[in-house]
Amino acid sequence: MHIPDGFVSGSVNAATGAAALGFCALALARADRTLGEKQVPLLGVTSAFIFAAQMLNFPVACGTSGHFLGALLAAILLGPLNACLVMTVVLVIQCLGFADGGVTALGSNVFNMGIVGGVGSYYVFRLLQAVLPRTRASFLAAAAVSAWVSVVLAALCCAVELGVSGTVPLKVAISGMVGVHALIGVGEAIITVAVASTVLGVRPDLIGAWRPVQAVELRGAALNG
Amino acid sequence: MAKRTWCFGAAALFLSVALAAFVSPFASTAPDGLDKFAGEQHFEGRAEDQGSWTHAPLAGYKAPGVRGAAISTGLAGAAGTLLVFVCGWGMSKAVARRRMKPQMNADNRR
Repeated sequence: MHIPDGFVSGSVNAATGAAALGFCALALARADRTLGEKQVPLLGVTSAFIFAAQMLNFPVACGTSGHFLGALLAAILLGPLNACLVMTVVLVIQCLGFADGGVTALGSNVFNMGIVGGVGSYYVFRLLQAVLPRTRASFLAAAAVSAWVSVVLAALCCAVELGVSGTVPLKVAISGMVGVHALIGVGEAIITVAVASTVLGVRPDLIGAWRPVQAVELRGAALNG
Repeated sequence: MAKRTWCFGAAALFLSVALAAFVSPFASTAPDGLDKFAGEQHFEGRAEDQGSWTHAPLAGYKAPGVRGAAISTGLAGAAGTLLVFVCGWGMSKAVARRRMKPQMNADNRR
């Protein structure tokens, strides 16, 4: 879903770029509060994993491939603002080092995949987490659904940018992009659940969004006592 | 605790580099969702990947001057994964520096 130079107009790129810069500035300003001793190396490792996993294109229907996005995974590990930073590091290096995604479209790519894919889908995840029981199974179910949502929402934003830029009619862009990314999102959900359940098995303390029922009860007991 | 985090990080980084080096050469080469859609709607010609930035050293996920597509992709992927790790770690270390000291003290007290 990396937009190359020339697909999206300058004014759209300027608007998305401004939003992306704003979110990154906010994330950097908050990082001293959100990044603890464990999260500092974890942010580097998560970025590296997402970069590597994004290289692994898997075939979906009719001659199309998709690849892992990783924004929601980063958000449940490190929080939504740090996920934005992770995606920005990955996208900047892909753009400057690998000519994957245009330099002028960097703002749109960070906006779609970092802010909408990471921050937006994280709040979908939190909403699901709030209504579902605090168990491992429902945590993974919420991760699966919001991982799918992250890809579809990012594709929807990409489609709107293409439509507003006049590259392709908006309706055509939305149906075309959302349709194929609804399939790619299934791959995203599978990979996100596989990684999240592995980390949950070995190091649950590294998953920032993991709030098992015991911890909540203990905290409640400590507050009462 | 710190040692266990270090071990987890090292294992995850090793896995990431291994995926980029040894699995990525076998990834699907079909166009991705956006590229396929651009082709169907005949606007792929608008892409100017070489237009504004021509200095990408590993353009197209290929290490320059390396014969063999699989080795070239694997090397570029491994190098990129390590570079992303260093940049991500460096950035988080730089921005979290203010917090590190009080947090360590809090951990020691516990």
